[in-house]
Amino acid sequence: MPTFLGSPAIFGVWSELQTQPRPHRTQSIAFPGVNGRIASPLGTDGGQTVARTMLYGDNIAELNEAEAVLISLAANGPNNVGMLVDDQGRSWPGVYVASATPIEDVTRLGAGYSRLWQIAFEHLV
Amino acid sequence: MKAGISMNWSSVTITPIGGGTALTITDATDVAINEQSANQVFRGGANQWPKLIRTGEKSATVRISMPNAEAVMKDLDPDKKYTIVAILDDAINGAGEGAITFDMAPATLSTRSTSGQNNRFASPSLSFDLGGRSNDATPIEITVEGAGP
Repeated sequence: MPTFLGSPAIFGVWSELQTQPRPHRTQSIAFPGVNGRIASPLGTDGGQTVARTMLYGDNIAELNEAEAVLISLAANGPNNVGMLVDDQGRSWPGVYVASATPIEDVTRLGAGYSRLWQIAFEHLV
Repeated sequence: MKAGISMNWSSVTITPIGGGTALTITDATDVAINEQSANQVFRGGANQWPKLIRTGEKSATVRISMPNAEAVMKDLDPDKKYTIVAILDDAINGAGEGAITFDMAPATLSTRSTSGQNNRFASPSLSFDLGGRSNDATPIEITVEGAGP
């Protein structure tokens, strides 16, 4: 089960997430009269995780509460930087919620209510 | 006769919601009631089997077949909503104890078919899509005659 800031709350009853590290930052240097370039390493450049999660509530009020947690994290953005643990158990430090988007209408799930969200996490390191 | 082995529909009544003349079909050859859930399957986490199946959207249809094409051509209005009551007789007691009443509403006419081959058994039919009742309740209410505590 993935967690963010130590809590699995925003991953609801079902989730999938993919993390993509950004390419190493480099400085590209060319020399007059010489073919090709030299790539000088400057350090890592974080990455991005895209998650789809299904939030759930036994009733609409409970679904609203679950969604409020996610909406608050998205509103606060880089004010809530912390650890993301993905569904393979890997820990990614320096992560914040860059955006959270509902991608469907509220849908019944059993006796309760659910909605799929797409979350974009920004990795600073 | 084994109970339930025959599907004997004693009557089907189609009544406009909000008033109007009801159409009664006493010789229905088939009342096909189909209820479906558009299941959404969610996978992931290297699991081979689905982690979650959501039965969020449901739909239901009913198709009434009869030998008499006249009923099909009656004044059923596709813009109206109907209540359909179909009674499935008990194999032994007929419309008495054990008979099952299917009360279906609101029903909207979708297909009016007079299909039938020349010089063969006729098979005209009426097909309806069923919506949800108020408060998101099922459009198909089933009661069994004589059932109870």
